[in-house]
Amino acid sequence: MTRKPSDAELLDLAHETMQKKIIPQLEGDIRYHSLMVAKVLGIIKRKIGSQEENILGKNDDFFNLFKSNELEVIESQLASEIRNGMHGPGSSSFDVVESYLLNKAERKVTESNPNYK
Amino acid sequence: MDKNLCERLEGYIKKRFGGVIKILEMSPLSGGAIQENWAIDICCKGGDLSGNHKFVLRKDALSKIPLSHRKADEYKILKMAYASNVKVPKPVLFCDKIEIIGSPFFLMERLDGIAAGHILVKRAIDDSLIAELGQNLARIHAISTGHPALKFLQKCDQPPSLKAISIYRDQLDNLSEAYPAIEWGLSWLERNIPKKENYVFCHRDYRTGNLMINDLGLSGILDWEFAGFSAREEDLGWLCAKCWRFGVNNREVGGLGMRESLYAGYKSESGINIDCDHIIYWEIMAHVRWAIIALYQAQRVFDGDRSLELALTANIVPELEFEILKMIKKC
Repeated sequence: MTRKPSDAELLDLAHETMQKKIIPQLEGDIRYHSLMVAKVLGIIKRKIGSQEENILGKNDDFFNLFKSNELEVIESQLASEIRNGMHGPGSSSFDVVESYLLNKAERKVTESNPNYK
Repeated sequence: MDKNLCERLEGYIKKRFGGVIKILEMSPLSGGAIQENWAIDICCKGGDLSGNHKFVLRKDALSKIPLSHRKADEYKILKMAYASNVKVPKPVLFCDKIEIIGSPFFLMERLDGIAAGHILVKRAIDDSLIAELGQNLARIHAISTGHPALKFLQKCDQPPSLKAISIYRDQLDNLSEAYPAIEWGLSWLERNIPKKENYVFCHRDYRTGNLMINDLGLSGILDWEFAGFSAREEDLGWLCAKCWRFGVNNREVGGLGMRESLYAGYKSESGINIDCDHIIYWEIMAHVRWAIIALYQAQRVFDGDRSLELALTANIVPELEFEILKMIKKC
């Protein structure tokens, strides 16, 4: 059985080609610009590979704080509520919201820069 | 830059200083995503600038962010800092005539050394350099907030931290997306306002990347476009913030060295003991601030500045949000 490479696999190949075959041959400004292009390819490769919905699925306690199930709407509402003093220390939602924000931030960093320390 | 522009520039410098002016070489300098800097080598025969000189021409980039000062004001600040014995490039001239190069610009001495953070952090720790950074920062903070060059800066009745929180919330409101992690940081900062804060004149971008360093130490402090009144701890927090250590996280002063040397240098010049908790507060604020700047920088791509480097700036926002959340959890 044969199959064609998926979008993620194509990106992975493109990323690998840049890193191993093209960039080592370059110097100066063109090398710098190529490193940035490779970086973008890596980011998109990882984003395609990760699944946004899993974050919501694993955080029922957080998800249940909101009526909407659209991430953009939830994030906007959450930002507004935090600004207005909700979910602060001592509130019943503090731990859930803090956990959501930390987990999401950690996942985003893994996508954008897996080597981040 | 084109030949006609060079001729106009030569003509303008001649008008200001006399003599015969010849631009020998002009090339763009790397670094500085918000401003445009050009290295200029000139030869002057006669007049007030007689001799060969290495200058930097500094002008606004294609799409300037609203937070940075006009060139005229930045130049006034540079002159003031130079006169106050702060290590900065010697200012040469300011020009507000658009017809010369298309925008206001100024010339300053081109310093010897390296500012690139990814190179500097590979050097061995030099405690005397770190102390010198502290001393120069203290000199900046000693400049009177009533200095005539600073008339254009707004003074504020609120404490510096409250003022910063208010500004960053307004800036978040102008973005098309919501950033709950940054809001979380700002809420914590608001709940934990430091008890005692005074306004001083601050550089407000005093960090690795804006410090020209040579074999003798600090050769000069660059990029005064964000200078303004704030708490002295803002500058110290910005310099020590993890986001400005270029990956060398155990060297808390900009990836270059240790806090103790910085604080000792600062105290030797100013007599002031540094409150470490106060600095940590402003390090959290630094991550909030840099996240918002990064988001605005990335916005420039849609304003015509088709730079992959700018577009990628927003890519560091997750790291900054992560640090904000972790630092708050630790406090």
